[in-house]
Amino acid sequence: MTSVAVRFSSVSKNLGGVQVLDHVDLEIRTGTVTAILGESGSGKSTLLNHINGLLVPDTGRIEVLGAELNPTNMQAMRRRMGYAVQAVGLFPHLRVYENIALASTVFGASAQATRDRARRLMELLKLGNELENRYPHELSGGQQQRAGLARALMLQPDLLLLDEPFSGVDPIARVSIHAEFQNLLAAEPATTILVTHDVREAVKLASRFVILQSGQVLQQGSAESLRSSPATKFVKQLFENLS
Amino acid sequence: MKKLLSAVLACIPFAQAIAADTPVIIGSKNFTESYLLAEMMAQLLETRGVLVRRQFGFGGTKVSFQALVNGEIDAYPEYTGTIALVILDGDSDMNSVDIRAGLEPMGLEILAPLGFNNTYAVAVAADIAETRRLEKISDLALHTDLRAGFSHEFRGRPDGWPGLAESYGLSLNTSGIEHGLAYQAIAERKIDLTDAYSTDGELNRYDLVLLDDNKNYFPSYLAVPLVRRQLDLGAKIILNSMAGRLTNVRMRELNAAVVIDKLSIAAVAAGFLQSEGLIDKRPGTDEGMWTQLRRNTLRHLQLTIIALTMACVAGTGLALSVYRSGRASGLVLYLAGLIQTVPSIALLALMIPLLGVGVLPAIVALFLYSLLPILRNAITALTTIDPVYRQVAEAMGLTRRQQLRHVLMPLAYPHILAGIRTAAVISIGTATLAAFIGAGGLGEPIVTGLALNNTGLILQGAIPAALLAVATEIAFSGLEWRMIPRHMRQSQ
Repeated sequence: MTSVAVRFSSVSKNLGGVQVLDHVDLEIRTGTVTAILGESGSGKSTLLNHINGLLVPDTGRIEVLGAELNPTNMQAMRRRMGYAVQAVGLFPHLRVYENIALASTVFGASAQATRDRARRLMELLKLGNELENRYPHELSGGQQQRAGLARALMLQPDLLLLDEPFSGVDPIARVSIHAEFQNLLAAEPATTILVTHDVREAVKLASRFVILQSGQVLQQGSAESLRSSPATKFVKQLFENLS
Repeated sequence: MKKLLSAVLACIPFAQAIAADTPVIIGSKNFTESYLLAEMMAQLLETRGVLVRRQFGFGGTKVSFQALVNGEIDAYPEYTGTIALVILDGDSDMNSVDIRAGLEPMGLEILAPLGFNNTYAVAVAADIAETRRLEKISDLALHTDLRAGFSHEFRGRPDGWPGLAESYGLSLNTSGIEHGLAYQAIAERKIDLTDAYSTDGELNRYDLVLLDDNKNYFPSYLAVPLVRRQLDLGAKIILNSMAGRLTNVRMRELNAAVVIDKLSIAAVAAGFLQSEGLIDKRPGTDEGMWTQLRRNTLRHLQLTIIALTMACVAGTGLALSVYRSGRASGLVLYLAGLIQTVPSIALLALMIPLLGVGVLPAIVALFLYSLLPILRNAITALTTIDPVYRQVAEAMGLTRRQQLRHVLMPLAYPHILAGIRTAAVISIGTATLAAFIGAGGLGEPIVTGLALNNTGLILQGAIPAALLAVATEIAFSGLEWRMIPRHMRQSQ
């Protein structure tokens, strides 16, 4: 496999008259955890949704896992990507276990393999067995986020796309989810792209950073490089208050 | 889905076959005398060994005539005046030779007249007639304040009120009323006069006076069996044995035996045929109440279940094919809404020129009626699903079909089920009207009961229909309870 998991070459996108991505060039290396940072409206989620093809660029090229997305490979490629969002989107008609197992079941994995995989994820994410048969609305916010994460990881994705997955949780629960998420990545390393507006969270979980502003990439690199030589005042302010 | 559709379509010829496997089908319109004459015709044939099926209670001349032309019935009692004016578009002084000539190209003929002349008449309460000195129809010209309640047919047909008013120079406030309720309305002083048939048994009960038709406006309405020319000659000969045996007085007595003495149609018909020596004993075909109830309920269920199944398949299928386009959804909903605005009885009537009478047009009308609630709920459900669910399902790599099956349809299902539930209850109610076009069902005793002013009969249809609607409601609650997680149920 190529050492670049995702490559954007001069990608632009206009949505409803707003230039949400403006000639974005980007490389995300295989095996890294990359945080996409920026203010609301800076284009973070838009960028993420271009990776799994929910949005298609107006101009420019996107390569994901060594291939360009097109209608014929789209579904197969998406099955190699896990996706979790802030709103979680657990399906209300399915129980927690069914939500986590859905993709595996639909794509024809054996019941045993599905069960083993789902149970392992639930264990890693500290979701007790007693939650399996609950409906999503019967879970706390933190439990819902964990279930959403487990669902995203079900097919052992090569690429994990996380759109502010921890932001709906209270600060205390967030600390423990962070810890479990790190355990999980240690157990099952996957290239991860984490969209967040929380710099502390980004620094805690990620090793690489992409700073977006008004649809443009301000700077990308490691925490040290961003801190030592910030490209703009905005980047400097973002990182200077971190201990 | 294809399998389901073909299963449903397979039921339609089955439904038609029910209406077609007996050799001689006798029809009637929905008033006492027509029922009685039709029953006499049926019994007479039965005692001579002819297999007979009764398809009684058609809601008007056009309906029963159309049924005859289409071969859905073989014979029904009609009146020469009605044939001349309503069927042949001729004038009232057409003689029987002209009538025969007019009917021939339609493949129809009339048999020998039964004897009496049941012409239209104007009936007034006896006391009003006395205080206002009303004897002749022309006397009405001086009493423009009288309230006339006319049967819908009389009010509409050219030889009815419009012609009468013109001929006599009358101007009265008229309103439409179900004929079976008109005398009651006079008795309760809600109206002062109504149209009547000169042989009507009810005239005796309500103390009504018939005004003299001093300008001979009303044509003669000789009762005759109107039959298909193809009808077996033997059957025609048997029916002709009734010729000339019924006088006006006799007919009024027989009608009165039904409407006043509450004897059954079958018993009165048999009594007359026996007294004339036409039959030895009453043929043993008189169904008990429970048999009738069972037959009517089964037919009612058959009509609604077939129509509803078709509407479920078509409604959900249509919703699935248009929900992604706002314009297409809007158009489909608009059209379904238009159909819904057509009054149910009108929709049934509109089916007659297209599909004739009987089970098939009733099913199609009920289907069209059930479509809107199912379609509307399905489209609303599919278009209002939280976009996050779509986004997640899409990002998961599910194909469009998998998204529908595992995510979108289960999310839409509670709304769709609620739509089907509404459609089912509407269908059960509307199906009672199907009796007007000869489709049977629980509307049959209601229509007959209204025609005979027989509350017992009305209730024989109305109560089971109401119970059926309630049972359907309960059954759907049960279905919802079983199939839908509590937090997603529409009715909590």
